[in-house]
Amino acid sequence: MDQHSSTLMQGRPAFSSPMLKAAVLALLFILLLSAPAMLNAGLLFWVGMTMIQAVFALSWNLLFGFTGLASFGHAGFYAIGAYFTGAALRYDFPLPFLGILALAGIFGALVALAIGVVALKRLTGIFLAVLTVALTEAMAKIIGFSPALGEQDGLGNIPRPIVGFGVFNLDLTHSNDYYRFLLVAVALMVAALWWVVHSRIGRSFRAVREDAERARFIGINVTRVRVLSFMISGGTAALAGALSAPWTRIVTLDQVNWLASTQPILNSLLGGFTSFWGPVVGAAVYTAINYWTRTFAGLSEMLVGGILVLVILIAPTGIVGLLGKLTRRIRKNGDRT
Amino acid sequence: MSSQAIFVLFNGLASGMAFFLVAAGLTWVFGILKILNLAHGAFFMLGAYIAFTVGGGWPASIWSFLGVALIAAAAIGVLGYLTDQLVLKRLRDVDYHYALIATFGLMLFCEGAAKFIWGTDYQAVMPPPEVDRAVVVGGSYISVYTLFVIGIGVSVFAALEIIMHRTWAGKIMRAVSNDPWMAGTLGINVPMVLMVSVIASFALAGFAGGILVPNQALSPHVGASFVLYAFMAVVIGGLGSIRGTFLACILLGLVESANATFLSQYGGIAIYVVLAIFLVWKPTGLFPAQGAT
Amino acid sequence: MKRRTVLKGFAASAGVALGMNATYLRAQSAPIRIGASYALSGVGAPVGTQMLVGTQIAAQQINRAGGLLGREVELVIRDDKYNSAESVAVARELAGDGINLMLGGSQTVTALGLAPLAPELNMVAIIVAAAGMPVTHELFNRNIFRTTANNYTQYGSLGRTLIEQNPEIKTWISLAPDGDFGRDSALFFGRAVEKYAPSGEVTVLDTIYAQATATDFRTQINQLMSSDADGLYLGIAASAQISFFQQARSVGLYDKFKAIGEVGNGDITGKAMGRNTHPNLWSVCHWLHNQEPFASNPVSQQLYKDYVEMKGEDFPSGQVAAGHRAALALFAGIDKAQSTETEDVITAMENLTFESVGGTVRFRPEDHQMLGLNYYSQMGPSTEAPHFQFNQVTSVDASEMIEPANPGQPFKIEELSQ
Repeated sequence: MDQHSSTLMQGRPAFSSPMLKAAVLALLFILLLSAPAMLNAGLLFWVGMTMIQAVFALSWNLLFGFTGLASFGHAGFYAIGAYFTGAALRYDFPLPFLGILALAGIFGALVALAIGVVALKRLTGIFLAVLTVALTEAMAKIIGFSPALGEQDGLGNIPRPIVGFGVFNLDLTHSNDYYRFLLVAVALMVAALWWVVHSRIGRSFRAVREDAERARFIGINVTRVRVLSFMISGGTAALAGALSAPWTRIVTLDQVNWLASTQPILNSLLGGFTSFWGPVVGAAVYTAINYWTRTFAGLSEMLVGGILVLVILIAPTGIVGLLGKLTRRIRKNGDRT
Repeated sequence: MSSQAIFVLFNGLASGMAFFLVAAGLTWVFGILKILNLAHGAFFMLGAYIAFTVGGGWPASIWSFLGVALIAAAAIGVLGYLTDQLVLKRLRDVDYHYALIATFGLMLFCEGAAKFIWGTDYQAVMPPPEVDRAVVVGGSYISVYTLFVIGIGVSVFAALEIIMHRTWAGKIMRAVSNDPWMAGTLGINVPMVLMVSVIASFALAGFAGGILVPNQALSPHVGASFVLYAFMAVVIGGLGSIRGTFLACILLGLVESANATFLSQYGGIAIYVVLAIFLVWKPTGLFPAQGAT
Repeated sequence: MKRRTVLKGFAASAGVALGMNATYLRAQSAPIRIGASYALSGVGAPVGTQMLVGTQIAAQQINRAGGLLGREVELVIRDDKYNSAESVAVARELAGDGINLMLGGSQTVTALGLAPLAPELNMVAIIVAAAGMPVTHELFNRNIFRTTANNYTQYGSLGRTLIEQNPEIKTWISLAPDGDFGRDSALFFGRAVEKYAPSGEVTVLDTIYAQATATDFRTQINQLMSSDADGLYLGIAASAQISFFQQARSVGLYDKFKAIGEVGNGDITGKAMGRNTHPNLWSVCHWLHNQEPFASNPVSQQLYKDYVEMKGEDFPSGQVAAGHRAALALFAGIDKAQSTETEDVITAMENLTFESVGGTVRFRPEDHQMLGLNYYSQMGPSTEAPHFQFNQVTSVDASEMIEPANPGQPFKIEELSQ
């Protein structure tokens, strides 16, 4: 076990003194909380989407960065949550909104369980990647044939919910109110994921990633650990999708294809998959790149594509890795003087 | 055989061979570099555009059509050399996921570049006049061009089989594919073999672009429709196995064709079901590559 | 678009921005900022970019004439990427930027995202070209106006045009994309063919379906070839339609089907297919500058002149007029209201009448649906470049073909009395 934690330490950027990190997070939370007052509605929308994408990317990276399994169909889980929540709100399911969210997460986890039980014993690496792509594409086809889910046009006109807490109701119809709800929900999910990664479960994930054979030897049930990781990851991705439906107020097939599945992968690698916070950084940077290039119609694809290639070539450990390297270098120089 | 069955068979073979033309280069580079090149479809698309630019919308004859496809192959081969030098070569020794993201970035870049160079208007290229007609087989209308595509697909397969299994170059390729370290100690110039493989794979994508461009409207997104099937075929076939990929392409083509004919209200689903079944049943593909995990 | 025109487009939009600054001092007050959200990338780009050109020309024209309410018009251009989530983001961003007037929904996917949002953002949203029925039915709200014919009117009129122009064709069939829009348009087309057949004896066969984004239509083509029909409605659009024609032509479908009515590609198909265009291909038509009645319409003449000047090309796409018309509608509404406030503009537009390239058009106050003449063009191959030509244009008055207004309620064809 000692060896595992030592390899982990290497992956951790050097600037991570816990106090500093906590202060940065608190500051970030306060900044995000006051965003509705500071930003226009369009930018606020992007900030909300980035938070959702960050959770989505974290869910993927739990699987990849911490358990060593690559899903290329993660948009499928996201879509399960988004379509379920969209339909539940649009067709007025007699369920409280928090119940809908919980069910969306459970559905995601159950689908992950089903796939995991059938496939994870046999498949890893590129085969698992392609299986998840195929299942997601098949799901997109099925949605495309379902009139209740809007077929090719998508499920639109999704109302924003009113959350009942028994004594009082929380009206989330207005963007700013839903944004604050979203922020709290995202913060709770990030905290939960952080706890998972740093708990015993997280250690067993990493043991499996480092060396499945040895993990088996020291008594870890590798398949069970993988399935568990897949379930948490799938459930979290579904929750991210569930939170997105009332935010965008429309869910379409664009969110279910393999290009959508590459989004959390890009965010994770861009930010750095060896760090817990890498996917969050990646999601923010990716949104920023997209936002800055939005007025270069026709050039945005070239810019985004070019930037991705450059990042991989210049900073393969992602932005967090690069920052870590820089701070280490600065410290070293500081020690010398 | 009923007329419907004949149609399903021909149409399936035609689709399968179209998939194979795209998948051949993909599986080659996968076998040797262990990289799943997500930009393969984008280079196929560039090949189609180059063929359109050089040859125009109405090829004069089947020979000029084939000549233009070879020009596209050469041009994309050159791009392959540049891509290898600038990007892929630097990613040889790192985790394959990095290469995946890099090729994804390349794909976006190529699609953006195609829009910038050729614009967003759709273009159409017609089949060469010799094959631009239909034959009626058992009541079904089958275009001669699709028979031509089947012929080209089988020829490319045969050529690759001969190169890989009957020639000295093919033996070196296979040696590097199986164990690059061992091949290196035996005096094989491994970096050279890897570079040649990348160039050949890209050239095959360009050739496929030139041959398949009359198949559908030409737009910067033309690669996407083929490349997903090509990925599936590469996986079902057994990563890096050209023979396996060939059979998988035929299988996928037939499934797709039967799906469209007999279960048209759920078109396009069967192929994914088949892939999922195959992955679970034969996780390493029809012809598992040695050393593949 | 060629590279040259892309660059010119950039130069033009940059010029608009710079020109704004230069003339800013002359204007009485700040410019009127109007959002223009079109699909400038993604599969909708070939259509969206053309519509944007029409909107840009309309803005230039109004500014040349001294602006609106004595103020300059400034377009804030955004790319909705043919993606509904993106169109939602764009609308929110524009609203957050203080813009309350916008053009968007160049296609159904983006309109479905945009339409329900307009009241929340307190915007006037012009739905430029989405024909889906929900926009003026279950998704209706006071803030949206549609400046194109709806699905029922458009494809009913197309069916009527085809059977009236080709009365000798007795058996019709449709190939449509699987989905609300495709199914409906084929149904409306077929009903109109039956209703307006001069002899009354026509057969409309069961519709054949394909996926909207399919690239291989051989199975459907084989079904069409084996059917008894010799008239076809083709509901497949964009690049898929061109793929269909490429694959259909070489198996002889052009000889079998004497007339084809297509969903609205128009010159997009003509430009791609050139001399291999079907000889009797009818399209939904927004504008043909050199055909009557457009040729003698002053709005059309001016649009053509400005187009040539702006783009340096002399063959504008009909889609340009769709973007132009939508902008004209909004400008006329602002002018009539003498205000840019959302509520004032809505009230003014409800009974608005204005001149477009195709003559006088107006809005139906109950459901904000535009009414006017709908045009249908017939094209075929030509021996000279660009190797296809439009042979004639016919029109059908929308008010003869439209369903009764029923805002807020889904449209059901069964409930209409014949």
